Amino acid sequence: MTFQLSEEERSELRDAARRLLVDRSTSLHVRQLLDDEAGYDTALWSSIAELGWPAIPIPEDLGGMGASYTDLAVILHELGRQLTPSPLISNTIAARALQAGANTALADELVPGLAAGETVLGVALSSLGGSYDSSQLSVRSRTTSPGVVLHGTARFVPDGHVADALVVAAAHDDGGVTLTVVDTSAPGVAITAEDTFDRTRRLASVALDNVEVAGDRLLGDPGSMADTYEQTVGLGAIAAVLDAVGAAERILEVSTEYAKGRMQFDRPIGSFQAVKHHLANMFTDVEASRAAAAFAVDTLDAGSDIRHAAAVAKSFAGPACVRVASLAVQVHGGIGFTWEHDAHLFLKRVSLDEALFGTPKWHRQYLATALLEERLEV
Amino acid sequence: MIDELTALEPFRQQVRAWCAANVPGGWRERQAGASHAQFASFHRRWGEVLREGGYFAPHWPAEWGGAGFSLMQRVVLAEELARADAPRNVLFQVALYNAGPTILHAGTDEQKARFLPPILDGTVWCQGFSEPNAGSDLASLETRAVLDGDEYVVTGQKVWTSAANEADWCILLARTDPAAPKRKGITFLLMDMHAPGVEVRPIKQATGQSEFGELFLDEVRVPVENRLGAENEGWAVTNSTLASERGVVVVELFERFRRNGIAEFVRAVGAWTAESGAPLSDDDGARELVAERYAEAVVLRQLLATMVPNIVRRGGVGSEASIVKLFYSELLQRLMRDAAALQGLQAQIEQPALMSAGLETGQWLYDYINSFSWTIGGGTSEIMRNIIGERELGLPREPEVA
Repeated sequence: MTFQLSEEERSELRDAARRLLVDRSTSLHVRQLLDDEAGYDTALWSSIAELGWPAIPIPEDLGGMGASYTDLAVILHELGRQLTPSPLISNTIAARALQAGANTALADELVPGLAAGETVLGVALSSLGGSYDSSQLSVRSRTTSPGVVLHGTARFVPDGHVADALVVAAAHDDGGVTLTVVDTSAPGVAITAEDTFDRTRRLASVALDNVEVAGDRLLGDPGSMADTYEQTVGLGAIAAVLDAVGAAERILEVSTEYAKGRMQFDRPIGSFQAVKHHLANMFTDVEASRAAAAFAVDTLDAGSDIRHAAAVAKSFAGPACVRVASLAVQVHGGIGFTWEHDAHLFLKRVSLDEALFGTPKWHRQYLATALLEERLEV
Repeated sequence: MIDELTALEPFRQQVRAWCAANVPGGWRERQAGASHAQFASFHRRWGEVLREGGYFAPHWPAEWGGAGFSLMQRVVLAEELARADAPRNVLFQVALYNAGPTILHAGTDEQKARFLPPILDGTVWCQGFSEPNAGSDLASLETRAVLDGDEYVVTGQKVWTSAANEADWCILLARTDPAAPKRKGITFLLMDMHAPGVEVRPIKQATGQSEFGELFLDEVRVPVENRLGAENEGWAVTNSTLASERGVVVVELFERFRRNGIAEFVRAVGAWTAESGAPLSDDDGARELVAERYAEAVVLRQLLATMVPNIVRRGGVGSEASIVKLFYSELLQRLMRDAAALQGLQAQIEQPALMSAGLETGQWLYDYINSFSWTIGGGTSEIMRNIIGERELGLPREPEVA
């Protein structure tokens, strides 16, 4: 059973996060970062670290707050609302992978830095083609004494270009999945930032040319980490959904205000059913996506297998939040199609959230197999 | 909500044991192709069984002979009845969930004493609200009630009256002041269905069944003492009907949907063969539909789990009920459509209708057609979207037509 903040404390956390981000992650500010090389505001990240947000779900003996993912979810939601660029999701996933691994010395060494927000640890979990299926990993590992050699390229690695080190997933030559930590400055590592449509997050391509990894950098025995890999991808999917729900909630609010104030045919466009029903559908999608995210976060905090809950959340909320942001563009009409309006920033953000850590289509195939093989009860 | 549910575990076990002993076995087989009369007598009998068990009027206060269950107890009861695949108590739906609560809320002591005990004894009520020209715009209803001495003389036509053939009494909305704004001139009457001038004609629905009727009212005399609330105040009386039951009804419908809709759909896709001869469970498209509908059902369960405590806290249904009704009815419809489409030509062969099975009879095309009763009845999906837009988002109403 995880310690959780009280409802009141969580509500205070939400208010504090919103105050900070509404002040320091304005549209103007987010736009200034669109062409920034790092892609995020290191001063804001320092403030976030000082407030202890990265530490929330990390146990106290690893330098964290020892609270729950339900509490962290408040922060991820608020970051989504303000389109804030930050490495928090990468660090959160990396921290959990390290804790789940058998190498406690490695966790003891690296997780406190993540809790303090002093280091950035990317997670290279996807293949060249963007798959998170363990059968498709395009980085390979082979055992050498005393560690492994990694070879191959992982693409679409969030925050890869700014990371101090990476958790890399590799298909092991003798079968199974290997998880290791690789310093980005290690010989043979080449990292290239990708040109993503969503400039509020950055992805990188990570090429590993026979990179030697010492045994103490392995999260567990080579080839033994398939379960941890799946759970780690699941956490990423849940984090992406939380981000998307925050973004969808905010763009719904923006669209609602616009529909109340924009006059055509001598009346607010929001009085027309054609527009009102779009907004009602957006509201229903936001509320249902919030429920999907809550279901997944509850499962996470209960300590249960999250693969299924992550698949439910991603299958539903991924496309639902894209529907919300798409209708936001439509409801705004011409202004919503301009670069000056933020609607496209939201659409691009939730669009990346939908694809990151497994497409809804892939997650649905997992659910279908579990249901049809009767491993999952309806 | 979890804590409350844990505390209710003994109650749940008690209901479960009662269901095991009392839910009629094999009722689905016996109700296949049943006539309307067989359907009605089956439900009168099921009503008696529920009455003997103390579960006929779970929501009514004990002082009026009900079980006086808390909302959470009602949720547990609904879940267990669904779990046991008990028939839904549909024949007495209007009596128990519309007429009774409204009389309880707006009736005089004499009216309560006169009408409430018979409802518990099995009086069937129907509802005369909708009219051919007053559907979503219910307040524009045209049935007239003219005071003549100490009686109202009622003339007009009502439609979509469920159980009209079986009903002894009718809750009726009629216009008493045609000059007033449309919501201000309506009066709520309790009408004897056996009075002269009441004619019932069954409506044959798109499914081929006749669960609803039309009422033709020709100078039906309703005593003033059968008026509920003041004259011209009927609209307010109608809106006072305890809406909290709607949320519980969806909990029960969802449990049935989960067991007989989603789970059966998964089983069906697991059993069917594609045109290629390969198992349909190997078809990515079919698999995707299974997963999508399943994920939506999990989301709906979570929405309900959020909604029910809110109802308990506030003592009434907010606009969550509109979201849940919209989400549930459209999910139901999508699932039935997907199943019928995947089943192909085999879905096109009509079997005898399975009466009393509600919305999941296992005949996918029948269930798809029948699902429109939920996207239209009880407020169309479009009206739900208006409610969400106006009450939840605060969007302006459409200008009233002069």
